[in-house]
Amino acid sequence: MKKILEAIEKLGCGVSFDEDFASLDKVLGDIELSDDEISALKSGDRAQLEQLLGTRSKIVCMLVPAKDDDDEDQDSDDKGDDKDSGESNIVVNF
Amino acid sequence: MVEKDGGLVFVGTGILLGGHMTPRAREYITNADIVFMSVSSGIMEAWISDMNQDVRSLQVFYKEEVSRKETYNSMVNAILSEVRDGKRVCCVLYGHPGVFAYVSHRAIELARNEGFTAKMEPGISAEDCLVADLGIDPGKYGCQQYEATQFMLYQRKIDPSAYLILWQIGVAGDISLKKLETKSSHRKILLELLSEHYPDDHEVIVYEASSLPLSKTRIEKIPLNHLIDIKLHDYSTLVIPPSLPLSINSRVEEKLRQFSY
Repeated sequence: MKKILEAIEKLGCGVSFDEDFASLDKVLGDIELSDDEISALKSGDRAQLEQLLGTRSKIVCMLVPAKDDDDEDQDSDDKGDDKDSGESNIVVNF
Repeated sequence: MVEKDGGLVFVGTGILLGGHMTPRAREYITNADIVFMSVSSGIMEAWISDMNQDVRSLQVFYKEEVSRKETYNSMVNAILSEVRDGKRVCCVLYGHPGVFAYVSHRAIELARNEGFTAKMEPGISAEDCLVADLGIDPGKYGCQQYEATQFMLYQRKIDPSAYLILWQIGVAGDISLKKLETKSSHRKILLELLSEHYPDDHEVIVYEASSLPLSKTRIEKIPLNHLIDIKLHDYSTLVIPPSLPLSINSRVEEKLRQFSY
């Protein structure tokens, strides 16, 4: 696992350190990070973290209510017409 | 029906990366033959990819000019194809895998119909974070919640004596289902709708859960009529506290009192 991911996971589990930057070093322990990585972690800068990790920055995430059988039948009739389906939009963070 | 080889489980990541995933979810991810994921960020994708040798992102199914229904059914087919092949498949979704998630419910239903073991593990949802961060007890006054655009499009009976939570307020009114942000003109229509039930200066809360350790939770209290101009994101949530006190249903109360002697 990349060190920065290890650090994020450790911080995520560090139940008493969320707002205590002074304790950051103690939480991270032996995980050696660059100044940029520490800065991104402290600021919670998602874009910078994604850049440092080289991961994709644009994500589409499902946010659609589940449907019952009646909705399914209706969708068959209105194929491709999202407006009438009662579905929600494609977004992130749910 | 005899259960076949192959199985399916949906698990959630929770909201806070690194902190909310349950031990059971992690165990399923680690031990699965194949892991599919649809999560909230590239960081989370990278984190999950380290947990199993065969992790596949469902992002590849999102394409322009392809209807979402087709996209989701392609995801379901890809997942079920591996289950039918006798694989133990784990699908990882952001937050709670069963909340606002067509793919999980549909895939589990189809897998079970075909005789496979299929189940869902609960995860920490945005609603769970909201309750904790805002100090709201949904049981105190009751709570209604809707996806914002769905709330606008369909006839609803709003109860101003209960909490009202509107998800995805930043894309409220987007009936094209393609935008990641809507304009103030869309929100103006939402405000008109809400103003039928709440005073313009009623205090509401814009909420955004923290998804990274050390990042800040957004809890911004504003008058309802400021909703049009405030900066929102696709993941912003609007929380409207009750504007009216609870009102006794005297008819029912009278009937119930007959039993309490």
